[in-house]
Amino acid sequence: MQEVIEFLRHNEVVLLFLVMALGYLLGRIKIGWFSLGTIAGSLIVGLVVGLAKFEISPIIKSVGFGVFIYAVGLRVGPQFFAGMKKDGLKLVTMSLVACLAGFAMVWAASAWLRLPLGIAPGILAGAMTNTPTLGAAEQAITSGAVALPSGLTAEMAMSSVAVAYAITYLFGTVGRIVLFKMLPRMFGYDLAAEAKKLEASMSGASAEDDPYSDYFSEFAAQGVRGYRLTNQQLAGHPLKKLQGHLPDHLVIERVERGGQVLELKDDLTLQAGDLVAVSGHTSDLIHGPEVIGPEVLDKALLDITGEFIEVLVTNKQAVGKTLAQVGRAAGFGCYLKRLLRAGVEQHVTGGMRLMKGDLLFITGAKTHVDRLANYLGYAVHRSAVTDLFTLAVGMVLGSLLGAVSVKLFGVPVSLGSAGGLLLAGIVISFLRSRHPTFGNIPGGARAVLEDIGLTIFIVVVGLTAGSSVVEVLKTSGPGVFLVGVAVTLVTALAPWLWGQYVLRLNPVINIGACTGAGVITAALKAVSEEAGSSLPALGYPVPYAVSTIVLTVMGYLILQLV
Amino acid sequence: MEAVIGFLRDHEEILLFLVIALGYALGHIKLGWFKLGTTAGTLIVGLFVGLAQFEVSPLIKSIGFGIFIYAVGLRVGPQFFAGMKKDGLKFISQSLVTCAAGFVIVWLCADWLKLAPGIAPGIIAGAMTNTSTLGAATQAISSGTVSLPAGVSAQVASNNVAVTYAITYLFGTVGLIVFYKLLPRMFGYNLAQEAQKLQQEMSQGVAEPDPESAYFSEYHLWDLRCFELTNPALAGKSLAELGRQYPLAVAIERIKRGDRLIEAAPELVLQLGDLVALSGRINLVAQAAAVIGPEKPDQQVLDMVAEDLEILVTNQEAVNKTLAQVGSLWGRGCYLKKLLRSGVEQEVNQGLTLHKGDLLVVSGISRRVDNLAQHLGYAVRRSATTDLLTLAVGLVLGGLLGAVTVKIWGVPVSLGSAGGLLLTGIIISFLRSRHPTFGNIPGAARGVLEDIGLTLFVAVLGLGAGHSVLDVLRSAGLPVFLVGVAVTLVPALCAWLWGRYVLRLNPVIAIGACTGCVPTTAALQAVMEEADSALPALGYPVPYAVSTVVLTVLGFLIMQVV
Repeated sequence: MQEVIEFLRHNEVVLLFLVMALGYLLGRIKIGWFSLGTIAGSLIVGLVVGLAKFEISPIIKSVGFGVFIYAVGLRVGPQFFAGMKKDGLKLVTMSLVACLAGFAMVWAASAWLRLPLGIAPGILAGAMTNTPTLGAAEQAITSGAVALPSGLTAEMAMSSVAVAYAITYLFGTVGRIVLFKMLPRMFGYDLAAEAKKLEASMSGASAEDDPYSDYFSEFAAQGVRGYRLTNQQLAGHPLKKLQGHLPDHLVIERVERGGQVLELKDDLTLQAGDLVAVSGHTSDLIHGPEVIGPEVLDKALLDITGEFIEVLVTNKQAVGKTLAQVGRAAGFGCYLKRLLRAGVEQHVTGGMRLMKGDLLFITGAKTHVDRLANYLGYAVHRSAVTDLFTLAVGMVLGSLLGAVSVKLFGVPVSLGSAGGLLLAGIVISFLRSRHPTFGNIPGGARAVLEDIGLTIFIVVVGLTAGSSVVEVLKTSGPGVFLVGVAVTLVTALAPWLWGQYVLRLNPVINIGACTGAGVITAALKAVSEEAGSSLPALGYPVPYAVSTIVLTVMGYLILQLV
Repeated sequence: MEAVIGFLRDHEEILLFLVIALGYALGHIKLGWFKLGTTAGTLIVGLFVGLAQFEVSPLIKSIGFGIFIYAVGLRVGPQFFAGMKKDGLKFISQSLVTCAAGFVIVWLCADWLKLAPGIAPGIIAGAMTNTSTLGAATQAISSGTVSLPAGVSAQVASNNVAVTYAITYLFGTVGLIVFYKLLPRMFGYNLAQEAQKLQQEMSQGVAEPDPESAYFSEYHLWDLRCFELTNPALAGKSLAELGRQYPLAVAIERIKRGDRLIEAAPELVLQLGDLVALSGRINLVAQAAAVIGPEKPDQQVLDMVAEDLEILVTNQEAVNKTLAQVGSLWGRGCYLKKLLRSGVEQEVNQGLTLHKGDLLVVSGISRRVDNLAQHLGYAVRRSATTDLLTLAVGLVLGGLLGAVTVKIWGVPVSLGSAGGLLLTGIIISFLRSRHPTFGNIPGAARGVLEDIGLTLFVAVLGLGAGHSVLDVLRSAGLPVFLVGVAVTLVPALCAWLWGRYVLRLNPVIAIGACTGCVPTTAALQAVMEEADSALPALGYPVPYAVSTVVLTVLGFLIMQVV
């Protein structure tokens, strides 16, 4: 045993990832429907292994946390701004109710019970299962923003945060999943029936596409089909002239004669027996057999490179033109799928005028699409490569923002690097949604940064706090647990009542919003199962984003107030 | 200035990301066709900022490097094993010749010029632009595997490695790019013409589509179209009856009767006037108008989710059945695109018997292919979520593997954490390519881990070595630079001569393989520009994988030999 510990002391990388692997295993173990989850799992393994007293440089923690919280900002950014619009504001108030209730309770409890410094933010983080709060509190302690009472080391305070988090997290998850499942029934609602009613009243609305999913809708409004030319009227004419004989919007993409693909030139003359690939709207393509000849399937003919891209309108020549004009100028063989203006999907008509910054989703054969993109402005190719420059700049700016301190009533208050980085992530993801020429970060990359940053942070917190776990447990264990239970229950009940009696939300949306206000995704899943519908998710994103932000800043603030 | 340095000293995470941001900015500056690249950029900025003597925990360096090298292993894994098959042996020999040439030159020069410890591996790493060699060498020094001469501390030796790397890297990139752009011309080849010739020879082969790409082929095996039922012979028949009458390669997916959508079920009876959504092989669907009635593209009835699903055969009930049997049992509406056995695509025919572990790529409506997957085994869905458990386990195993020491002729030799992690990455990605039920890591996530790991590693490396730059430059700058030039050019030339005149590779492939031997991705990009084609990339992956492994081990070995 001693040898293993020595080995790990010399191979800290192995130590870190070992704790991470064990934590993930622990977090995945299912007891009935409950599993700890990877975060609590990693923290607990870290605390146990940390009993052997490892010292890990705090910079690891800061970098891991920084990457994590910035990635969270990138994720919640678009929802946060959606919440600022008129419908979203109602949902924002649900968050505020939940967070303020939690904050007030923790504040009162720690004053009354004289809880040691660090316990308060730990309870807030655990009982409301918002891990960024933990990081914010940790930053406040180690950066010296909080004056520690004499006799208390920063390490002890940090242990209190971590242990309080671990103690309260369990009920924060399990308790709320059960509570949220039962709440609507306690108020006389049958969630499944309500969801059916709601679904009927809003049918026709479809969920937004997930850009990362593998699925596509099979209804292709346009496509490419191949025909064998048998219509003698078309034979013998040069291609240029021929285009006029075809139904509107049908475009000849490729011609194959005797097994050879011919180059498309304006003076190319078609012959009977040629194979012709034609693109167009399906409603036009179905006339192909009458106009050209029988449909054929030929790989060499139809293996044309197609492309689906987003184009940002930036060119002067395109701005102010109607879609019909653009179509005539450069749109040959291209198909417009959607048009977003300031992030909002527009109803598309031929008379609509383009504005600078419009985002067009275009598909068609690559040669045509590339030409149109050149005409309009900037083609945003979906790329798997993360723009690390923007990432690094964002993180520098976020940290700097967090270091700025302002005096409020004589007390120096600052966002802390957690708040700063979160805000930087939000702003950058918002800017990118409007102007996607910079800062590319694919969903998979963002998620892995969030996860790995968080786990590294949590593991190091666990390892360093491990040495004083026993002491903290002895001095304040049961009290902390009970306060945690109270905070969990009250912060779950308060937004429900607010949504029910003040905002008068539909119960299905209300319960979804409650899970968001309490930042607990597992409960959203439970509630959706209960409703037999994904509708509760409609209420979830905005309060989730707002609560994440508010609770993070509170983790920093509460230490300065308590 | 002092205040800024003091601030950065207190906020090391800001320091790190600042160096990365500036390094990326520097690396992106274009001088004509030349760019420094982000790795060299970050290193140079790090060295420069490091003049102010920052001390950043080496653990960041180890974690960054570990993640980076493991991710590289994941990337090259599948190609690495492809290289083991007969064609790849040529590439492997080319790579070995190159590495051996570099090793010999460095060894001789180090002996002759009596270079200080750490310089030799630094030259290999820099002149042959293989950053993982750097990690292997610093690891050999810090772990104490190498006995350093009296008076030389481990710190000095590692700084030597880093500074030498920085001195030689510049020519290793710039010089090599120019050299490889000119080389084919010097031997009388016009790369662009050669590439065109080769393209024509190879045009039979079809490239594998990149799942993250926005491009697609307009050629589909199957299609979904909607017809109006006008043939009285079909009216009044149930789908079960029709199923016995018509081939398996078409399937009715759904019908629309009036305004009502009805999902397909065996007992559903068709009526005149129904809109029928029919999926099937295109040649059959194209003729369906003659059997059913005129084509009527109706958005509502055709709006179904379809996908290309990878299915891993694991169920006993499917093993040893022929494709024909599987098709008649569960295959209606599912279209087999290809079948991979042990990673090799098989010729598909009806009599082919399924083995456990076969991977089938099947297209069709989601409901159908899902059903098929349940009967055959396991549906492999590309997901944006990284399996962090496998990642952590892989990193632990790699670290452990690298720590194993074997005595060869009394000299303790170990892979070092670089070699161990690289090998583990290769093995895990290979296993995953055969059995994709674990260890999911999307390309974008792998890419960002590689990039961020590398830049963190390089930034800390630079910061740590910065203050000794001037010393090294003064004492050993010019000879080291000149040796570096030789080590860049001679192995590069050997690779070309061996590939072209011993192995008789096509010049386009040979030059691509050369850039892999060295291994410099930037040079590959330059050569591809020169050839105006992506074909050189075909020669790249195998030598790249081999050279990366060999040079990494050599970096470790040379410390023990010199």
